[in-house]
Amino acid sequence: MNEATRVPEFESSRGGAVWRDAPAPSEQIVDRTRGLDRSARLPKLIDTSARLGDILPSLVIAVVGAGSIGMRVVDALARMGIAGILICDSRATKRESVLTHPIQPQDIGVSKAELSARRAQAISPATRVRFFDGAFESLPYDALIGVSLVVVASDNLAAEVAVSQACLHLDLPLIQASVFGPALVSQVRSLEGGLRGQGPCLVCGYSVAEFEALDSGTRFSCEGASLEKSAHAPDPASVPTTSPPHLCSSASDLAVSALLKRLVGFGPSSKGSEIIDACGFTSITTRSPLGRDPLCPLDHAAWDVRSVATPLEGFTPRSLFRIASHEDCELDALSLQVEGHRFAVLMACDCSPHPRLGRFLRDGEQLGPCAFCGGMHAAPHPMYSFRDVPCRALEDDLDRTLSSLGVTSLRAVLVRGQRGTTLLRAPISKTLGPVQCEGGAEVASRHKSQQKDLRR
Amino acid sequence: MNSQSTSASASPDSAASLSAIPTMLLTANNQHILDERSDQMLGSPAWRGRKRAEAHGLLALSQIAPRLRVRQLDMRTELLTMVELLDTPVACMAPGADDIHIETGTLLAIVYPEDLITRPIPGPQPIRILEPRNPFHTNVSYGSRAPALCLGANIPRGFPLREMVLSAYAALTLQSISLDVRDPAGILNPQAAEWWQANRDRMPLTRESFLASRSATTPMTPTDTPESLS
Repeated sequence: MNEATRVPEFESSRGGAVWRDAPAPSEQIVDRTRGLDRSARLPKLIDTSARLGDILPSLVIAVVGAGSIGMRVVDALARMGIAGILICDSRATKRESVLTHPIQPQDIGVSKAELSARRAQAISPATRVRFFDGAFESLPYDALIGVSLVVVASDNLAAEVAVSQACLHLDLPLIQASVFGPALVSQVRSLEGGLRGQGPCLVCGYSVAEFEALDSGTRFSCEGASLEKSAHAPDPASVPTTSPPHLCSSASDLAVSALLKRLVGFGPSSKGSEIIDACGFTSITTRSPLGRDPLCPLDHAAWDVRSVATPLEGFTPRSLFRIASHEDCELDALSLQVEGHRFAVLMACDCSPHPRLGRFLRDGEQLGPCAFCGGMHAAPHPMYSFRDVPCRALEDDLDRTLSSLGVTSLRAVLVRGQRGTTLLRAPISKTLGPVQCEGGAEVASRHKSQQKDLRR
Repeated sequence: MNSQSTSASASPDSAASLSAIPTMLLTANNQHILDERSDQMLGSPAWRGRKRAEAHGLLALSQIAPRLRVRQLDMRTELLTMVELLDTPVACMAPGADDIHIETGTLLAIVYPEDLITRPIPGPQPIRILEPRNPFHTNVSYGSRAPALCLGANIPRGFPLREMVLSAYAALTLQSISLDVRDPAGILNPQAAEWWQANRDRMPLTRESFLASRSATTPMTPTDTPESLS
């Protein structure tokens, strides 16, 4: 059904698909636009030789927040016929959504991410549209790899912080759109990517009020808490957007303009980071540069992203350090984080002293009774279990494969050392080649020769 | 990593109060512990700075709080600490029993995650009770050898480690407790919530403040004896 174009690094890596394909439109719908020239209404931009018709079909954009602003952004991207759209939202439409979202009454009570995906897919069957009906914080480390740019249009500040951090780590440009209804303000922050952490993030510009809103707007429930699970996603306090619908349109249109300028390299503000405020009250639009806050609490260091050709579970910690080019670092300067797992050095049970466990446990995995004392409620010892494992704790297991250490179905690991953090990804499910990171071709060929030496 | 206990008795700043903790001078022993652990820290500059500040606050608190001993401190990746609260009554109920018994003293493991410097985290996330066994409390989970203690609906961004210790003391001694099963923050042990609702006259277990001088009792000897980590 989808006339999918080749989209680099857009496939799910081994370990399970995260993004779901948008429901396919009916043949009848597809027939209505079959053969349509998607560039028929694209203008020739002034002051640039770049052609939108050449650039748009290669773009993959992630949109976090498919509400009154985000859903309109997705629509616009689909109408432009870009290569791929990823949509993330954890909520469903409500009755009040009809007042601000571009939806019909029959769309009430539906997942926003899925609804937006379905609409986009119908508009542009050739666009690869995928969605995630959940909190952004639940996405794996590599979920945004291959994306050209991220748009966040969420009223959930915790999600905004998480998106900012992900874009810093993956060195992605980021557009944030919001509104302030009482003064009819639509606002867009456009952050440059590719600066290896030297540029600002959204949190660099947070005021005291925003931090207070972040604290007060986040609640978790203790009920039936499964305490071995990592609690990724809070339940955001519901703060409805109070804005006339045209303002949300204005914000989404500003965001799409900023996105095009950033990716096409069009206009004086295509470089650098800036904030654009369009104020309906004064009828004035202002642009101001954004700078990095040296005291920003987020980690601004970009990750070095690499892919391996064989399943990650088959590698040993020592071989992972080598692939990440940290093999000459002291053990005490290294740490290893296996996605979705904790490493338990000791077990807490009725034995005294507590016995060594020495393996990875998947989030939510129960230990079962202790083989020595029979204690039924054994748990990883909280003082001696680590999500980010200092490598001294793995000293006895450096040459054991991750699978023998209890790791299953692994998408990615993070290796942290003095030279920074490296994200190692599992092989992608379709044969599209390794990650085109910096020096990508070199990395790919080096990996191929390394695999023969390092496997097991 | 060898166990390094701190003591509040040898304190150069006996008149210090909680508000003075951020700038309090540590004893030579505590300063040595802090410096040694800081040399082993990994992570971003912001995270390393935060870990050092939180560890300083905890060690400083131990200098002015006679009932607090810091037994273990690991600052390599997450900030992990094991603290002993002496002379702290904790209600427990053995499996099959129908009444509580009071244990004196508790051993807590606290995990201070990097996430907390940028966003709130769930209430049950940081603190696990290693001793005594079978604590019986509405906000303590059950069915685990290391049950979690919930400090509320969320732990605010940047909540200090020393405040977690103070909150844990208040919670375990039942000076602060949530009993309402309809509370949106939730209850970790509904059976305990019902029991304590029916036995409110037995709360709190003590009215002593955290900083109060210790009564003349022997310190708890925890059965949880950690191995040394290199």
